[in-house]
Amino acid sequence: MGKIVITVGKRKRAIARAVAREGKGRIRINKIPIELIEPKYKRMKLMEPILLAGEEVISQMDIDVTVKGGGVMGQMDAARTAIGKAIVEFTGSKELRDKFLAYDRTLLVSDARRTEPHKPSRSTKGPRAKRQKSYR
Amino acid sequence: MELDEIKVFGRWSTKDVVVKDPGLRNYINLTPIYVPHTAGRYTKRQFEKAKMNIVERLVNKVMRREENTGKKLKALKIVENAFEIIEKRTKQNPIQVLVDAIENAGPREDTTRISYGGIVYLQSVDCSSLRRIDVALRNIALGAYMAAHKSKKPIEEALAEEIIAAARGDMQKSYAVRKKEETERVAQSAR
Repeated sequence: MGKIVITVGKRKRAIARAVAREGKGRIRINKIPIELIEPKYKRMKLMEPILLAGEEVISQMDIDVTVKGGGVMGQMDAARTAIGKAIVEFTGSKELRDKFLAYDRTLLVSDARRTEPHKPSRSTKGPRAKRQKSYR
Repeated sequence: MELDEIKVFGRWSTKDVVVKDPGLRNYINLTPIYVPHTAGRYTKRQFEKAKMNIVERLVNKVMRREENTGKKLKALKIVENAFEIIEKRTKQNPIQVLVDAIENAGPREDTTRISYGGIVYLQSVDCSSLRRIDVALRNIALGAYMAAHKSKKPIEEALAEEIIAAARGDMQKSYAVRKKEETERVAQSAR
């Protein structure tokens, strides 16, 4: 068995794990080929690291991504980060890494912002909601 | 793919887009971006929005009011379709048309209220570059919204028409340009 690279991308509550292997350019997200993903802007966003890397780089590897948690867009961003990291780590190319960082830092670095926790003593309705104050 | 070959929505290049107004050059960001959807990354600090691609800023203005509130994907689709219409009608790069529209729709002078001894009057003030862009984008999106609301005309078409008319500086057809002229007229009389 050849080289295997495992990377993780996170966004809000979503966690994406990418496994990159020797292959011929097949990329799957939760077993769905990347070309078939809907909606369209989600697919385009996920394609960004692939387009930046170029066809000759991508055709060396297969990437399988498993995403859990969070919402649709959070999962999209998490998977995107995982894919970007996987590509750079698999190729070991500094030039590629610099290119990704120049385009968009979150292709390689997970967004540190997290979903804000609820504060039930204030209100059960949401993180920022509050019960109305009454002085008498 | 090289960085400067990236096209907005995969279709329109920002390489040849020219900002004629030197005051706005630093605040109309034309860094190439494939999908203008960066998830609130430029909201933490004052003036950070100058780093956001101008198309995304337009998308964010379209993403408001009633049925559009918070729906980024829907707003993206509206803007992309509007750009397609603009391209068909004007045979130009729709991003260039948008930049021209912003230049024509941003007021250069505005008024603020001043109280002196209980009397309130309007004082004329200059507009900063960033505010000009903010107001232009807001009025373009609002004009399109008003044209499409309770009307058979789809929002994409309304937005395209608004941007084209604003790029020409057409006071009759563009709500944003009309608003700008009115603002400047009031400011002129309040000097």
